[in-house]
Formats: sequence, structure tokens, C-alpha cells
Amino acid sequence: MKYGTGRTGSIRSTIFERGIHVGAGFWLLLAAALTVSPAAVTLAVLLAAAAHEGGHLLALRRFGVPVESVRLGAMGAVIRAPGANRLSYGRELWVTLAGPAVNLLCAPTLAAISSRRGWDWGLLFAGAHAVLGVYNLLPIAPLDGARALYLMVACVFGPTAGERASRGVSLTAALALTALGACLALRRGAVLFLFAALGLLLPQIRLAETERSV
Amino acid sequence: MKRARRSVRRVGAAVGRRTAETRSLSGIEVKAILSGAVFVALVGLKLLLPDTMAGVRGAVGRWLVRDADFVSAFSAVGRAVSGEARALEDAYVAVFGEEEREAREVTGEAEVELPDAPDYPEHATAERREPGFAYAPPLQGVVTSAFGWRTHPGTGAEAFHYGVDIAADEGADIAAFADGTVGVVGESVELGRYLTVHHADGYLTLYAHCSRVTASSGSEVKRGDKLAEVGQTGNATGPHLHFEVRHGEDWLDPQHYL
Repeated sequence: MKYGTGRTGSIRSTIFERGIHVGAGFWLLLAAALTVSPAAVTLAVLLAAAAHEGGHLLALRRFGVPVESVRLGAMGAVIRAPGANRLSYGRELWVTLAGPAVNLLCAPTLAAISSRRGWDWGLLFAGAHAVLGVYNLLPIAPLDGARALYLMVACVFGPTAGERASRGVSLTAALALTALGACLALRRGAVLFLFAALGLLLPQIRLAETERSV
Repeated sequence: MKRARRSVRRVGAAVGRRTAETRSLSGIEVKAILSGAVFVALVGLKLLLPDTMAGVRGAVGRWLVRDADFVSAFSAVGRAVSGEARALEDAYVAVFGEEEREAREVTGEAEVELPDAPDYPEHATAERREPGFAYAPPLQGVVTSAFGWRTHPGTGAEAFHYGVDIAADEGADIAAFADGTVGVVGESVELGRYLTVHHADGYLTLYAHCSRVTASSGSEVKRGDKLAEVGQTGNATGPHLHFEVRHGEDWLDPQHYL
């Protein structure tokens, strides 16, 4: 165990001793969600998101990485675990994919149980898991999919190639999504998807700018 | 949205946090207080004035995603995951509405279908098609608004009515038109609480403005089984059932089957 740092504390102590920081943006996100969609949908998405983060946290704990804090902001949750950069590419890939994996395991399980028992709310929750799992696997930084792509390419061709691949694919995918959002906004008058796509495009432009200035 | 982030500026962040704590009202704290206030205000409004907030939700929702029905969208994705391929189509309809239908509502007068009543929009047909299965009216009552062009009672605009309205007492039982599988069970600003049932040979029925839907999506129903109760949810001026019969891409006149 190269990375063993003697972590023996339970999840409770690893997470809650350091604390969950709830940022201002998170409340705005929650308020916006409650305004646009019924409370049941917001709850389903929040629970799916909690399960998703739980997956990341469990994987981090499995590899003995202490978690400093969980920060809830406008863009969702960010887990601060400084020790994670000492993990091997393979192990960090596990950590990265653990979140979506939890969602993609929960979705069919919940759906199967719910459709057998006739629980409508269960199908709603299963749908939220599926949507969140697939969304996070989009290869657009800072989503899990782009991180996984970076780790896989970096593992074979080195970190520079990984970074380049991750940025290139992120920008292309974000542009494609924005085009799709614009198309939907024009044809159907639904602008939410355009906003969401722009929200994913913005970090790509910012990344490109910092790269140029360096 | 979420990821395990490598923190390279660990020390800097910790210092930043400490200075933010010591300053009395830093920019971050003001932002937090404002956001918290907006959140509390919105939740408070939702509890105190549910109808007004539902209206705001409707207006904001219509602008952002038209009349997207997130509950049925997510539920439909859930059903798709459970192996029901058709459910993905339901999810698309729940989020984006029915494409051809909305387009027709805008350009309705320009699009004319010759073989049918000349002023019907495309895909709405007066033709009587006899389904190859037994069926029965979903509800006994007076038809207060027929299939065809009408002045919308709520908005006053001229729009095509794709179903019939059957007036009945609030809480009256709505029965399945024929054997089939329940598709979407949802709620939207326009249709209120509604459900769809898929029948044999590509037939589909829709039941809207219900006070309560008792059937659950994905379940098998027999002709005459109770699906829901009459109500006036959504855009309705009194308790009634809005009933649509569809065959493939076409809307049929439900009057033929009552």
C-alpha cells in the first residue's frame, strides 16, 4: 500500500469532521430547480447526486485518501481530497467512475423493483439516476467523463497527451451540445438546454484562455 | 457537475477561508446571505401562495422548456431503463412536447389536408377507423367541446381541439377505453394530471385534467378498468375529461367511439 496513510476513520469522521461547505450558489441552484420543476423532481435529482458523490467518497476511502471537505456550489458538489493526486492513474479512474457507476447501477435496480411493484415515484428516482449517470459521463470537463478520458489517455501516452485529448474532446463536445441546444431553442422555443450547454462551454473557453496566457 | 478535484492550491484555499471568516462582511458572505434570502423567499412564497407560484413556475417553465413535464420525463427514463424501449419516446414528448402538433398550432391554417374535412390540420382526421379490438367510452357525460377548430375558452385564441371534452362531476371514475398498457402518467401546466394508454395496432388514448390518476405507468389495464378521476387540473374551466384518440401519427375524432 504505497498510498496508505493510516486512514482508519469511518466515512462519518472523514467527511463530517472536515465539514460540508454549502456555497451561495447552491442555494440559488436549489431555488431555481424548485421554481422550474416540481419538488419531487428536485428531490430525486438531489438524492441521485448524493448517491453519486457517495460513490466517489467510498472509492476515495477504499484507497485511503482523506477527504478534506465537500463543497456544494452552483455547479454541484466538489470533493476536496488533496491526497487524490498521489493515486495511480488506474486508481483515480476507479474513483472517477465510481460516481456514475453508482447511478448506473441504482437506475436499473430501482426501475426493476418499481415497475414490478408499481411504484411511480421509484421510476422517477430511477430516471434521475440514469440521467445523472449519463450526464456525468459526457466527455466535457469538469464532468467525470472528461476526467476519465484524461486518465485513460494519460495512462498510455502520458499526461500531456491526456490533457490535450481531454481539452480537445471537451471543447468539441461542448460546441456540439451548444449547437444542439441552439437548434432546440430555435425549433421548440426551449432555451433551458441552450443555457445548460453554454454552462458547459464556458469552462472550456476559460481553460483555453489560461493556457494561452501561460 | 461533480468530480473529485485535485487540490493544488490547498494552502491558498485554507488561507482564503480564514481571511473570509475574520472580515466582518466579505463579498462571499454577502453573496451567501443574498442567495439564502432568495431561497427562503421563494420557498416561503411557494408555501404561502402555492397557486401564484404554480403560475410563475408555469410561465418560467414554458419560457425555458416550453411546458416540459419533468416528472413524466424522469419517470419515462426510469421505465426505459427497466427495459421498455417505447418509454424513451414518452420522455422526449414530456420534455419537448409533440413536435408536429405544436408546429401545426402555429401554422394550422396554412396546412390543409385535402382528403379530410378541408380545414383540418395535418394528422387530424375526421375519417372513421374501426380498431380491431373491443372498446368502450371512458366516461358517461355531455360532450361540451367537440373535435375541431374552436375558440379556446381560456385564451380566446382560435386553436384546433385534438380531443373531446366530456363534462362530469369531480371525482367521477374514468375507465380505460380498451385493453392496453399505461404509458405516461404525468402532470403539466396545460393538461393538468393526465395519462396515456397504449392499445393494440398503434392506437393510443389520452385522458387529461384528472383530479387523481389511480393507474400507474407501465401497468396493464383491461377495458373498463378505472384509470383516474375527473377533475379540473391544468388549463380547465370546470371538471371535465379531455379525451384524445390517436392512431399512429393521426388524431381521430373520439366522437366516433363514444
